[in-house]
Amino acid sequence: MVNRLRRVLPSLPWLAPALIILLIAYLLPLAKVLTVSVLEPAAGFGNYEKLLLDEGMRHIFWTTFRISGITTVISVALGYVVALAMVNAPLRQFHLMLVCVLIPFWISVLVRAFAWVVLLRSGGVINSALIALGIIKEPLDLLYNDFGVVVGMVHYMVPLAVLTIYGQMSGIDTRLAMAARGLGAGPTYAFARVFFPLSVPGIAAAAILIFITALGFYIVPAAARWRQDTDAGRVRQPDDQRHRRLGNGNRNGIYTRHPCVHDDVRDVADRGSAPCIWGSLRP
Amino acid sequence: MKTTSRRGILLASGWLIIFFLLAPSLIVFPISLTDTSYLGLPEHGFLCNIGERW
Repeated sequence: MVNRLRRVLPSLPWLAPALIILLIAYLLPLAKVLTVSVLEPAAGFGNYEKLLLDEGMRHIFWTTFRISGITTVISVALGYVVALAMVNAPLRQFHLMLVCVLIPFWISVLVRAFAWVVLLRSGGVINSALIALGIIKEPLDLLYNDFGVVVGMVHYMVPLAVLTIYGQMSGIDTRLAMAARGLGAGPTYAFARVFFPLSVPGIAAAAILIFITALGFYIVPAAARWRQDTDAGRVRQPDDQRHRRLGNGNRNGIYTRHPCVHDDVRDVADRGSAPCIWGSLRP
Repeated sequence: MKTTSRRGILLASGWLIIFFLLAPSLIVFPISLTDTSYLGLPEHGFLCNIGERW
């Protein structure tokens, strides 16, 4: 133990700046939010009790976890395929794929969400194309439901999954799978028993990253705007009646995970929900 | 031969998913070149003070 401390102590000055930033930017706001959650409107755990007992809140949590879970599974699956393709692609194609995966990062998530509205709405590109091809007669309900939200969220998450999984895959020694093939394993068996297990840490990292991000997602559900439903991300919207009813303490009880992050994004999204911002897209 | 076709399927699947990633960009850019207003901020600003609401 003492030896361990002796090894760690010299590195502390180098870690100090990062630790100070973490303390100021994350731990202090988190402590403040937690304090408010147990002090307002009255001292105690009443806010948390309300959260657990309120049927509406339970429904919100269930919806949030369900949508986040679906998004995580789909994003990781799609991300895995792209990462695997990148690992197996010739160098030039790999570079092109990498650029294409990075392109969505250059576009604001709000703009991307609205782009999906343009694509998925009843008079949108996809429905118009399907009707023009004679595949459907009536427009499909692709927006204002779980499907629209999941599509938008998956679109945001897949690049994160690709980069995380690719980081793991690129470190796998391809000679191991070749050795398995040399010892008589078929390509599927070699993949399933050698390559895939080695890539599991990447899958786990991507799944955790995506699930946590999805839990607090705001803009896509706001843009795809569930009419009958809501999720935890949307409860933050100040105009929400449920939000008003909960008050500051309860709201902080829900959002202790990200007390100060994305305030700017939230504000833009709140503005986005103002009627005038929707322009001709407003249904 | 089989390995080559497997690799081809894998790459095709990868590109298909990448097309899904690029789809909104492919829509947004042409739309930005038209006169149609799809998204706009309110002309006279926002009526409510967001800071006060929080």
